[in-house]
Amino acid sequence: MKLGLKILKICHVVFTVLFAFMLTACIITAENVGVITSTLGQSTYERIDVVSDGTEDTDFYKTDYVSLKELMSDGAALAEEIEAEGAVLLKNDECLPLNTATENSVSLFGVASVDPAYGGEGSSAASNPADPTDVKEGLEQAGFRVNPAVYDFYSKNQKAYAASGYRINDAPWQDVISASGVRDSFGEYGDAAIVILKRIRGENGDLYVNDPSCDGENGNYLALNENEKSVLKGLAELKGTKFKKIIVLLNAPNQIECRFLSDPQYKIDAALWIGSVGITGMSAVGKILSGEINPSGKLSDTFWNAHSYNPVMVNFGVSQYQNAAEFSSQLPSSSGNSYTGMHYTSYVAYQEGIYVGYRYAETRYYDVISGRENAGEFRYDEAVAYPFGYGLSYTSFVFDDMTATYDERTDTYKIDVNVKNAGTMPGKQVVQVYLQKPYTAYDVENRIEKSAVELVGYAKTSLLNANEEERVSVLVSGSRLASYDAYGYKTYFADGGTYCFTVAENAHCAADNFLAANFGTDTGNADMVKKFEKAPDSVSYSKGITNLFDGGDINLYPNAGERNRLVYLSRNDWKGTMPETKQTLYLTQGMVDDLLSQNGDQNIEKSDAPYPVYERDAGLQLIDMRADSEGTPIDAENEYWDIFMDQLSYKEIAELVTTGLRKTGFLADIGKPVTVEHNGPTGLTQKYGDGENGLAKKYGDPDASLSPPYYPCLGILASSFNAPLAGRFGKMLGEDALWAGYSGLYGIGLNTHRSAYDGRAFEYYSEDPFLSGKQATEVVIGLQSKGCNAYVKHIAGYEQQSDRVGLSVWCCEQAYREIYLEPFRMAVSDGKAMNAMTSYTRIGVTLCPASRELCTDFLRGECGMRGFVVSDMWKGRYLDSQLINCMMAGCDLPDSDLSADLYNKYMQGYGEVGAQMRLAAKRILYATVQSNAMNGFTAGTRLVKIMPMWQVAVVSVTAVCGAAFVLCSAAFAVFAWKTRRK
Amino acid sequence: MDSEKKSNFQKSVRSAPMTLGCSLLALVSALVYAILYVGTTEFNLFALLLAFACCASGALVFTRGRALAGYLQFWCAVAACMFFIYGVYYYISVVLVGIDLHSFSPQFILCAILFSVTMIATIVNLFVKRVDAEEN
Repeated sequence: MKLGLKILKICHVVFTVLFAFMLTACIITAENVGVITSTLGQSTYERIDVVSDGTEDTDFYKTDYVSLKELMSDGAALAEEIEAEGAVLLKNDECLPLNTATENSVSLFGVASVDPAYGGEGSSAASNPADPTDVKEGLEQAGFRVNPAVYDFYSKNQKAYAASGYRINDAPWQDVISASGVRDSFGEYGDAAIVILKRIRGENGDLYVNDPSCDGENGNYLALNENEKSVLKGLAELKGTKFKKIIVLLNAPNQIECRFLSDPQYKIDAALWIGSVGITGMSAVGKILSGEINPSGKLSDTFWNAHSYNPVMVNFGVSQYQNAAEFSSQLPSSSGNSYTGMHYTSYVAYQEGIYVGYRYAETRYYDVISGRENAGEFRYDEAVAYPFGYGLSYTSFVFDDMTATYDERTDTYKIDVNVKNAGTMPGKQVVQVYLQKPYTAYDVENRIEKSAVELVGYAKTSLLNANEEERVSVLVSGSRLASYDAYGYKTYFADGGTYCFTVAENAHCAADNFLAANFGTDTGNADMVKKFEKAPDSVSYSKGITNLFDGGDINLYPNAGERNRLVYLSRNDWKGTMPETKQTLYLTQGMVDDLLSQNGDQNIEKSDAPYPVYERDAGLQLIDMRADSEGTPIDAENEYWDIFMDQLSYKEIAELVTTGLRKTGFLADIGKPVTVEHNGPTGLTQKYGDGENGLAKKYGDPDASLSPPYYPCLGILASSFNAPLAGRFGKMLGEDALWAGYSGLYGIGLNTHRSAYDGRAFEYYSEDPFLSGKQATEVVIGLQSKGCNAYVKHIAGYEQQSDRVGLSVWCCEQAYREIYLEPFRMAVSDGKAMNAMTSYTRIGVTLCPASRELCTDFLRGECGMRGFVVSDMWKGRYLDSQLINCMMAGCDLPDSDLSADLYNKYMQGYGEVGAQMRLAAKRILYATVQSNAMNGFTAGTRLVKIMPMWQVAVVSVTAVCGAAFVLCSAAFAVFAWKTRRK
Repeated sequence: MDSEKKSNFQKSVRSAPMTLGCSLLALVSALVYAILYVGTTEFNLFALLLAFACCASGALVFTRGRALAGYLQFWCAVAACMFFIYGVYYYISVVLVGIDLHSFSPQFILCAILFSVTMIATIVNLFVKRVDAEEN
C-alpha cells in the first residue's frame, strides 16, 4: 500500500513538472512558430496553385546568381571594395605605401591585432557570421610577413587583454616586451610596427565620455588608455633602432580623439581610419598598406583632436528636468530595463542647432578669420585634427577649370571641374561641391542659421592614371539654396544675396576658398569659387510646407511655461550662445499632461463617423493588386484598393495591424503570406535559410545555414563618397534578401552622427545630412530593385542610446529639417523608400510613433511615402498603453506580436479608428504586394494555414503530459484519501 | 492560547519543520525578487505565486489540512517556475534578437539560485518522512 502510494506520488510530481514544462514550451514555441518552422524546413501554410499551368513567369524579382556560394563570394568581394574605397588615409609622412619587396616584415601591436572590430553589437550583429578575414590574413594576402612572436603573444593572452564593456584594456608595453621571444623578434620584423586601436559598441549603450569605470584617459572611451600609450611610447623609443616606421590603424566606427597622432613623443608616421571592417575589409587594409590599392576615402565626419571642442558634447547624454521630483506622483516610474522602461523626465537639448560637426568647426573658423563680430576665440588647428571630407592619397590631384551654370528650366546648378592626377600612382579623387549661402540681416532677425560651408554635391572620378584627366559634373538642385525659416515665414526660404559654390578637397579647404573669394585671404583658391546673385524667394521651395515640429522646440511649444528658454548656438554671437553647461529645463503641468495624454485612449473620442465596409466579397486576392491586366503596377491610391479592402473583416484588419516583430501577418482568405522583415544596416543578420519564401530554401541550397556577408560600418561606405558603390551595396543586400526570403530590411540607418559617442554610430552614415541622404538613397534603390522593402530608421531625433525609450529631444525646427530629417526625406522622396521605422525617442514630449506630424504629415504628406510606418521594437510592451495613439498618428504597426483583441473596444462607435486601422492595413498590404514576398504567386494561388508537424508534436506531448498529470493527481488523491481513512 | 490549541500548535511545528522551512525560503525568494525588481512588470506573477505559496502553506501547517501544505507549496512553485522560465525566455529572446546584454545580471542570478533552492526543497519536502506520520 505504502509502496503504491509512493509510486503514485512520484508519478504525480514527475507529471506535474513535465506538464508545466511542456505547457511553457508550448507557449514559447507558439511565439516563435516562424523561426522554428523555417529552421526545421517545414511550413506554416500550404500554397495551392489551382489555376496556374506553371508557365507563367511569377518571379517578379529575379536573382543574378545561381547559388549562395557565388552570391556570398561576390558579397565578400564587395565588402572588400567598400573598405578599399572608404578607408581614409589620415597621415602619411613618407611612410606608405610599404614596398612589399623590400619592407614586408611587420609587427602587429594591440590586442585588436587578433580581435579586430568587424562590425558592431546589438540588433545589427550577424546571427551566424562566417569567419572573417583577420588582420594577419589580410596583411599576408598583401605580401607581408607578420611577426609570429608578437602575434602569438596577443593570441595566447587575448582573453586577458581583451576589451570588456567600457574597459579598453589591452596589453601594457612591459607585458609585451617581457614575453618570451618578443623583443628578439623585432629585428627581423622591424620594417614597420603597426598598432591597431579598436573601439566597439552597439545598441543600447553610448560610449563613456567621462566615467571612472572607463579606463580611457579621464574616463573617456574615445581617448587612449595608459596601456595603449605605453605601447606607443615603447615603440617610439625603438624607432630607428628596431622599427623603421610606426603606423596606426584606427579600427573603430566612432572617431577616436586624434591629437595623439601628431604628438611628437609617439613618432607616428602614418595613420589610417578603417572603421569596422566587415567580413573581408582587412584584405583591403593590407592592400592599402602595400600600395596595391590607393586610398581614396574622405572623412564622413569631422575628426576632432578632442571631442570637448564639439559644442554638441555639452548637452550630449541625459538631463533630468530640474523639478522632476515635484511631478513624481503623477508620472509613472521609468524603472525597468532599457527596452521596457519608459522615460518621462529625461531629455536632451540639441542646443547647437544646425552647427553639427563641420558646420560648427568651419563656420566658426570662417567667422574668426573674416573678423566677424562676436566670433570669439577659436583655434581651429587645436580643435580639429582632420576636417570633414579630408583624406590623403598616394598620388596628388589638381582641380582646375571650374565652371558653374544655372538652368532656370530645371532650377539646377551644374558644376564642372577638371580633375588631373598630378602624381605618379593611379588613383581616384572625390569632387566635393560646397555651397555658401548669404547670412543676412533677415537671418539674424529671424534666427535662421547658415553654415559657412555646406556639402551639396559630390562625385568620384574613375581610376586616373598619372597625368590623366577627367572632367567631372555635379548637379545641384536649386532647392539646396533655401534654408528652413522656422520663426519667420515658417517654411523654406532663400534670402536674396550672393550664393557661392566651390569645389574643394574637404570642408576646410572649401572654407578657405570662400575666404579667399570673399575677403581676399591667401588661405584658399578664389578661382575655385563661383558666385550667383539671387532675389529673395519664399515661394519656390515652400510647396505648402510649414512648421510641423513646434512641439519639439521648447521656445515654441505652448506648454513650456515661463522658465523654459533654449538659446540655440548662433553665428551671430558665437561667444554669447556657445553652450557651456548642460541646458536646464523644467517640467510644467502642461508638459506632464501632454506626456500622460499619450498613455491610454482618453484622447480618442467616440464619434458617429461611419466605419468602412467590411466583408464584402469581391473575389480578389492580394496578388491581383500587384498590377493590372496590362502589367502596370497598381498604385497605392488606385480605387481598386477600396474594393479590395472592403473584403476584409474588422478582425482580420486588427490581426494585420497587431502582427509585427520582424514580419507582417498572414491572411489566408486574401492570399497574404507572412513576410520576413528583419534587421541589418551592415548586412542581413539572419541565416539564408530562415525565410520560407527565400531562394535558398526553394533551391535547397547547401549553404542555407550560413548568414550573408556583413559589411564595413556605414561611416566607411559614406567615406567612399561613391554613390554607385552604395547602389551596388544596396543591390547586394537585395540579392541576399531575395535568397534569405526577406521582404523588408530594417536596415537604412539614417540617424546623424551628432556625437562620436552614440553607441549605434556604426549603423549610420555621417554627420552630414546630404552625404547620408545621397548614399542611403542609392542603397534604397538598389535594395528595392530586388523586391526587398527598405525601412528608413529610426525617425527621428535618435542620436544617443542613453534613456532612449521616451527621451525628450528638444531641437529647433530648422535643425530637425536641415540636419536630422533631411536624410530621411531624401531616401523617401528620391529613393522611394517604402517603409519607415520610428525611434524610441520623443519630439519634445510627443513619442515619435505617436507623432502625427512625423508619421503622417512629414513622411506621407511631404515625402510621399507609400508603405507603412513601424515602431521600434515593442517586445518590452513598453508602448502598449500608447498603441491607439500611435495608430491614429500614422504608425501603422507595432514591432511586436500583440493581441488583435486590443482593438475589440473600438468595434463600435469609433468609426475614425476603424478607418485608420483599414488605412494602416492597406499600407501593409500594399508594401507586401510590391515586394518579393509575392514571387511565385499567380491569380490562382491560394494559401491554407496549417500547423507544422513539429508543433503538432509539441502540442500532442503536452496533451499527453496533461492527461497523465490529471490521472496521476486524481489517482494519488483517491489513494491517499483511502489510505488515510484506513 | 488554551492547552489544546497550544498542543496543536506545537504538534504542527514539530510535524512540518521542513514545510515551514520551505515557506521561509519561498518568502525570502519572493522578497528578494520583489526588492530587486520593484516597480517593474517583469516576472511579477512569479513573486506573487511564491508569496502565496509561503503564506498559504504556512497557514495550512497549523490546520487540519497540514498534509496538503507541502503539495500546495509544490504546485505554487511549479506554477511560479512556469512564469520564471517564460520570463527568462522573454529576456533571452530580446538578447537573441540582438538588443544588448552579454550576460545575466547578478540580481537575476541571485533570484534564480534562490528559486532553484526553493523548488528543490519543496520537491524533497514531499518525500521527507513526517513527524506526525511517525507519531501516527
